[in-house]
Amino acid sequence: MHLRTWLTWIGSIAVVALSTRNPLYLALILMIVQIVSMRTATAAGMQAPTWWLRFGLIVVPISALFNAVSVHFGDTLLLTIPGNLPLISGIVTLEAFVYGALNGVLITVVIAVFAIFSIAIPAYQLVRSTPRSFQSMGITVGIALTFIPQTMRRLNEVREAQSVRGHRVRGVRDWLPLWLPLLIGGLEQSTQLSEAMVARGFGATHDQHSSVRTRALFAAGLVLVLSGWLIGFVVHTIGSISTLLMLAGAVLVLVGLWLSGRAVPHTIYNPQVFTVLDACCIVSAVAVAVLLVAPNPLIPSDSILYYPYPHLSAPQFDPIIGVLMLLWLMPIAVLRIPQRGDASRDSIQGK
Amino acid sequence: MSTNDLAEPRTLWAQGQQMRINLKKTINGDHQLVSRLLSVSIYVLASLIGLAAFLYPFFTLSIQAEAAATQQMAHGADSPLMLALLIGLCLAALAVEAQGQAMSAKMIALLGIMVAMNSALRFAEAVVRGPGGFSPVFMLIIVCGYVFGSRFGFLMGILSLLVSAIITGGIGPWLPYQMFTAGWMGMSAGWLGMLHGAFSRRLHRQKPAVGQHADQKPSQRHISVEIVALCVFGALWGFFYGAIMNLWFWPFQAGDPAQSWQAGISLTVGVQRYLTFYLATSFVWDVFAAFGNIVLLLLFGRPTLRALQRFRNRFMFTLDTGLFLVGDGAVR
Repeated sequence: MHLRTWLTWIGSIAVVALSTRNPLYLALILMIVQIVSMRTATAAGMQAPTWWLRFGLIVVPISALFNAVSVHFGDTLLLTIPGNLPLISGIVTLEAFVYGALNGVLITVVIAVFAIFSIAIPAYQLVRSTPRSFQSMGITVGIALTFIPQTMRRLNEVREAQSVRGHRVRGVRDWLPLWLPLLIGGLEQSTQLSEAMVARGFGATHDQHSSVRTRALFAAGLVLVLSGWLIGFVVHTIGSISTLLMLAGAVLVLVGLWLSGRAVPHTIYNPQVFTVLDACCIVSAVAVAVLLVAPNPLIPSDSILYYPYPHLSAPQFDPIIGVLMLLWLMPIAVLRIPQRGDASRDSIQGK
Repeated sequence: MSTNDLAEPRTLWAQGQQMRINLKKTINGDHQLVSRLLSVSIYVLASLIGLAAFLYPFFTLSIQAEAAATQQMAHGADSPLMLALLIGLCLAALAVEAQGQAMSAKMIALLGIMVAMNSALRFAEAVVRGPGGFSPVFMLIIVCGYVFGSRFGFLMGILSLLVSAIITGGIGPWLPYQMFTAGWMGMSAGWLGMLHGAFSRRLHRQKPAVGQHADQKPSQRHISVEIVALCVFGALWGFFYGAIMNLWFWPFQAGDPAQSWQAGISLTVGVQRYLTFYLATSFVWDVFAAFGNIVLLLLFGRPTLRALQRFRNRFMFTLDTGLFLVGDGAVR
């Protein structure tokens, strides 16, 4: 699936999840996320991440307890904490407990959605999709991602060498004989790497400095954004002018980014293919988010805006909303499970 | 034909060349000045917008109290989303500016390796959690910013958080805020380095020799002062990082009304509520972060500082021969 499709899909679920506290919808979202996660993991030949579940098992009770102890509001009294302890003393209500738990579930849903990102998008694809304006940063991120395993390996080598000399790690101070060789080795490695880059012609083809025109656009755009903001705060009656100024500033900054990107020659080997199914997935994700979050006459928002205060009530479930949410399962249709023999075919085709 | 007749065209040609060189010098000087001014203005403006975006709940409180009568409160709900977009925009502008100015092959390689080391530290932290908010990643951001300057520090901060988020699966809506805050940490560490350099030069009343940094051969006492300054800086940032990072979700946080964001109350009450929220939820966590920074800087700061300063003095030099390139590429 294309990177843009994943980003839209994740954004759509995150926006809807953040706008509801209804436990039934949150549970449905979590179920959809887990199904897509399992399918994605199978397609990538990996294990589906389950660490978010452990995270949720810790966060939900803590959040519920914290909210119950610190928020003394609600009709259903569970107990009373006596004394004059600041923040803590007072009534503990069922509503506060439930609301805290729902907050914990919400955080878990957001974490679970973004956990898919790490298995769905390989790091190389992420680096390759870096906008051209951030070329130098993209290269730096690429170097860093490449050197992380080497750094870990070198740390192991240093640790083994120090162990042979009788060094044992017993406290924080004992990390110094490991840290210093690692740091100095890294610095030497960076020198060799920069020499290799220069020897291969890095930076020889174009001026690395941004042009004065691009930077002037950035500065002008930021001035407009800041002035729009200040005008909006000081003179409340001309909010539209403030918004217009901020929009104009944002456009100038975006044009500056586009111009600085155009100055960088860029080719992609084996580009990602954007299919019709990707387009369908994006359209459905955007449609679900807009229909569920933006106020509209088709979807009543009462059940989405569940609020347990002041008296706890059962959450409602609207079947139309449930069906709409099921559209998030679209990535299952887009994701392709590799068949036996795919790897050999790919290697023959030089992929 | 006399010798004077032959010499005259040569003299004219030489004068013409000299004028051309002078003109180029003036244009180069003006260009550098404009470039410098633009660079400073981008840093200042983007940081101001970023700061305002983080602190908007406090501004919105007082403004909305006044504007409640004029039904401006309806716009309060749009603010967080709009400000998140603005944070991203400012971060992008700052990053392009910083990379455009600082990225030679040496810088890219050094930054890549340092980010890899820091990300490995965060990976280790994700496997073996430290107590509270203790994190080993801030030590290297602070020391690198201090030694290599604010631009390097800023890039080190944002890229360390970005790469470590990629490898630990920590990508989420909080990431741009983490990157911005860590970038500020590295940037301000660069300012501390500048301040210390200027202060020590003034203290010793001596100009550094050509091609030599003021603190090229630091004494033991000199290093100790630096370490103490870095420890105080690290401790302060241990608290600042937590306090700033709370601000992005505080307006969404539901809970005790005495700790929660609410439109239509005064700035003073807003600050009081935030302080209560911070003391109740984050202070103890951040004490561990601050204490961890102090411990790491005390134990590892001195040798790390020495190694990085030595590396900077060996490799991060610029050759100023008093010559410059003219339009045709020839050295004059």
